[in-house]
Order: sequence, then structure tokens, then C-alpha cells
Amino acid sequence: MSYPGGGGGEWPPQNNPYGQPQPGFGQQGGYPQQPQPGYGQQQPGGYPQTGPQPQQGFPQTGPQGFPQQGYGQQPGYGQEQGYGQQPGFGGPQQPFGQQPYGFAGGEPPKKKRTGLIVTAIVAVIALAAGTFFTVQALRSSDVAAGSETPTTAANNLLSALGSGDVLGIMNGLAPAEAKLSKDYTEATVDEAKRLEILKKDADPQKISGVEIKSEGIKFDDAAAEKVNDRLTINKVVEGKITVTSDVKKIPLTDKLVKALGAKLDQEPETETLDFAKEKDKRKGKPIGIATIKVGDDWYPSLFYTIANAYLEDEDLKWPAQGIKPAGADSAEAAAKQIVEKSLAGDLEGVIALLPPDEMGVIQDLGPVLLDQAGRVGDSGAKLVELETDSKDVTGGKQLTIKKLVLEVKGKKAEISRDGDCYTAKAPDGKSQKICADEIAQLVEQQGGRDVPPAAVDVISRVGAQVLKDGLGVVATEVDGKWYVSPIRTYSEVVLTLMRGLEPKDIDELLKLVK
Amino acid sequence: MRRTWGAVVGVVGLITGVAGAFLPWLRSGTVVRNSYEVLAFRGFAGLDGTAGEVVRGVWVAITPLAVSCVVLWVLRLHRFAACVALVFGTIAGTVAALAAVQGGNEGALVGITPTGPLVTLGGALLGVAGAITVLTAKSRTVIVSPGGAP
Repeated sequence: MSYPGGGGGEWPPQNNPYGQPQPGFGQQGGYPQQPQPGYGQQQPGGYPQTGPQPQQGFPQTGPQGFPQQGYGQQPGYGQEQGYGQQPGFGGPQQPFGQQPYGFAGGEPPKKKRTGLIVTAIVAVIALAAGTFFTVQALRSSDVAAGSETPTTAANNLLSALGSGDVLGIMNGLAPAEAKLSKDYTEATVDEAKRLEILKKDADPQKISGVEIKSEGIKFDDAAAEKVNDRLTINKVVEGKITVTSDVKKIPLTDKLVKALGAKLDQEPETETLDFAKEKDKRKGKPIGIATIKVGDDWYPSLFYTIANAYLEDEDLKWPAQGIKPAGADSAEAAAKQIVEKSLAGDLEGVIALLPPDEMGVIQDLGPVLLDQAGRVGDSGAKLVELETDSKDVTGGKQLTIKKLVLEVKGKKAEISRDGDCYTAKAPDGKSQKICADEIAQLVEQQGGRDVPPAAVDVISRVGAQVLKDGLGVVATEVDGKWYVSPIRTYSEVVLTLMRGLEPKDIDELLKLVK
Repeated sequence: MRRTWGAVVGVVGLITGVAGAFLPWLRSGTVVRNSYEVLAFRGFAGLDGTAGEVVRGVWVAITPLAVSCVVLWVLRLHRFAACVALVFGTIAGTVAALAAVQGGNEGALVGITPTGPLVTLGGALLGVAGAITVLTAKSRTVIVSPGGAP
């Protein structure tokens, strides 16, 4: 359809469905709902309407239709200012008398303006609410950092403990400790599932069987011991922590439940730690929860808490100065250095080669440990050569021996690896080679017929796995330097041994338990 | 009329969906956390680095997405709004459905709380239903002049 513009000119009278002259001003069809109040009364003219004009000729009184300006924004509809500018409409300025826009005696169109305002308000409220909730979402989803003060950090840990909030505990712990725990809990649970110890759907994040509650925990802020700028021991003087363990809730496989039988029928065990009573037992010394500063935030630390308990038990103090970490330039160099320093009895050097994030506690305790260990003598052996194979493992690189040559009292001893075979050459020149598939035979030879076939099978399989994967140290990178991680090294050894087992080995073990 | 009803259903769905995201999604011990607080633990699910940030960005974006959709509807840009509502419904609904089916874990220290996922899922479904209604509704009838050209 087309709308005649405001070009004026008379319209054929037959276009008026009402059959009477329209006193309007070039109203177009298609806008019957938009009244032109008073046109009919006040402006007698000769401009017939072209479309249905149901309301024409009747004075409009209410605020109906859109504001007149609206017409003016619709070019081609022949309205608005065009009324007066259209030739033949009686004059360019005020062709319609006193009311150029035609609202003779009517009120302004409040209703539609109200709608517009309501729309704007709703839009603004929606945007404001959206902004608020988006900011909330962003804040909540940010990886939870530590706390601003040591006391808050310790309190958060105990609150998380008290409400059994495993995620809160893991997330609240010092980052390096939490990562260690996460990395090896997952790997160990996966192996336990493969060995059919835990159910297939057991989730390391959904540990069950332990319930922890805390009540009335109070810290003595004044007694907090500030060891240095990044270590504070917070003293808990009141409150209780109750731990209830229920073996029945551990997601053990059915065969394990059946095998353990009566042992699983026991009632849940509950243990309570009463901080006030502990303080009395410890001659007025409250239990300390250690917090460390990482970056700008404070975190509770399990390792430092254990170390602090050890110092208190031994009636020792935190040293004023720890051992400065001294990493190597590469993982291989770190492995080589730790072997050299160990052989040389350089305990301080060994401690300096530990990762400062995971093992910072050992470095802070260093002088005390050195003092306790006393003088460690040189082994008399020297590292001549160390070649390693490197493999990426969770959190670092595992370095296994490819070739190790030591010099002991002027004579060389060597261990080398070729595939899953190891060859050892003694200083006297004798050599022995053992391969993964020879382990069973070796066990039978060494153990004789007394060793049950099932045990031979297990030992040979685990031994073969060890030779195949190789045993070594795990090096981690911290701030561009490489260190040797004892916890990761130990965990990888355990995992290697577990990987050598098969579900049927667990069945054999269960038979032994019975 | 059908379009208006579609818009109303869509807006209700979007608001419900966003509200659900702020309701409990995960229980750890006696502590419950909403979907955004759960995202703070994305590292535990192996979503470190860029992948984690992408997941976080997408999920946080559902709120502004819902708001922009509501504003478009208020401005009577129905079809645009319906398209945005479909995107919202797809993202929120998929995540909520995945979380809802993981629910349960009774007795475990950590488990999914179905309240939040189910509310968000309901909202997402309503949002999609509203969007489809709007998109399939016929355009408004225009009264044509019976007269024709002068």
C-alpha cells in the first residue's frame, strides 16, 4: 500500500466511506485509530479522507492516539507541519486556526507518554539489576584467595572444618599444599578404582565416611606469635572439633565390603579435640594454627602447623633465619645436585634444593633440623656421571636413572638402564643384569618354594612395573628455578607400585586378611 | 497477543533462570554454594588457566544475556529478544541439566544440590518456550486502506 503524502489536492469523495465531506486535513487511510479531535468541528474544509475514518466528525476529548509529533515523524503521511505547508490547505502558518496540531480542546496524550516512561524505567531497572548480579557473579566466581589477616585465615579453616566443608578446606589451604593434596588424591583414588578397592563412581572430591564438626572456636589474638613477616602462629584457646568416622560410608566395592565383613559393622567412631583441655594438658600452651603469607594473602598451613607442634613438643623456637632456597637451572641439574649434596653429606645444600613453595617449612626450620641432625659425614662416594630419562608427571618432571656412575674409594660403580633391563657393575668389575620379565624367576630363586605362587605373581608384577617405569625423583619449577620435591617423588613411587598391581592381587590380599 | 504471551513467558523464564544460578548448586559438608561460588573451585575440576576463564566467562555472561534479552523485549524488539533468549536457554539449560542429573550423592561430603540446577533448567525451558512462541507468532495485522491511490 502507499500513503499519499501531504501534497494536498482534493481526494475523490468516493474514498470517504462515510459519504460525507471530511473536515479533516488530509488524513490517510490506515490510521483510523489515531483521532484528530476537533478537526471536524473547527476546520471545515474540503479535504476528504481516503480511508476509514470512524471517528471523524466527532470531537475527541481524551488523550487518545499518539502525540501529534509522532505524525510528523512519519514522512509521507501528509500530517504534522505539512498541514500548514500543503498548498491549498488554507495557508502555510496556521491553517487550522488555533490548533495547528489538531487537539482541539483535548488533553495531552498522557497515556502513551506514561507507557514510554514505564518502558524506560523497566529497562533501567533491568540493566541496573543485571549489572548488580553480574558483578556479584564475577566476585563469587573469582578463585577464592586467602584472607587479609592471619587470624581470619585460621578462623576460616576451622569454620570450614567445623562445617565439613571439604572444598572450603582445600581452597583455603596454602596454595602449594592444596595443589599437592589435589594432585595425589585424584591419582590415588583413580588407582584405587582401577584395583576395585573403591567403587567406579567414587569421586575424590566427594569423600564420604568422615564428618567433622566444630563449636565455639576462639582465638587469642594477643597471644598470636608472629615468627616473621610471612609466618604467624594463631593460638586457639577455646572450642571443640569433633571427628566422626564411619567406615560404612566409604565407597568401597562390594567384594571389599564382603571381605571386610564384621569390621565394617562397627559403629561410627568419634573423637573430640577440646582446645581448652589441650591447653591445660600442654601446661598452658594453646594449640597453634600456623598461617603463612603467599603474595598479599594469608593462608592456613598444614605443614607449618605440624612443624610448630613439633617445635613446641621439643621445646624449641622457630629459627630467626631459615635456609635460603637455591634451585638449579634445569630439572636434570637439580637431580644431579641433590645426588652430589647427599653423597657429600651437605644437608643444608639438600634442604636448599627443596621447592620453596611446597617445602618452605623445611627451609624455615632448616637451622633447627641441622642442629638436631648433628654433623652428617661425607659418604666417601662421588658422583661421576648421571644421565636421566625425563618424563612429565603431575606438577613437574620425573627423572629416572639412565646411567649412574659413582666413585667409591677410587673405584667406579655403575648402574645403567636399557629399556626395562638394568645392569649393575660393581667396583670389583662384576656385573649383573636384570630385566622386568626375569623378576618372577628371581623371586622364586631367592624365596624358594615357601613363597606362595600368588605372592610370587604379585612381587614379580610390581617389580617388573618398577623396572619398566623406573624409579626416580620429581623436579618442580618455581620462579624459573628447578627443585627436587620429596613429596611428589614419594607419591610417584607409591603410584608406580600401585600401577604394578591388578585387581586379582587385591583378592589375594583379602584372602590373606581372612 | 500470542507474541505478547511469548514475551511474558520468556521474561519469566529468563528471570527464573538467572535466579536459579544464585540458588544452591553444590553442598560441601553443611555449606551450600551457588553456581558462581562453585566456579571459584574450577581448578579442582581441572579447569585451570584459559579453559577455566572461558567457562567462567560464559557462565557469568548468562546474567547480562538475560538482561539484554529483557530490555530488547521491553523495547518491543521481539525477534531479537527471542534469539537472545534461545542462546540463554541453550547455555543455561544444558549446564543446569548436566548438573541436575549429577544430583544426589547422599552421605557424601560434597555433592550437587538440585535446587539451583532445577530452577535454572525450568527457567531456561520457559525462556526457550517463550522465544519459540515469539518467533513462530504471525506479524501484527496492518489495516490497509480500502481506497487505494487517490
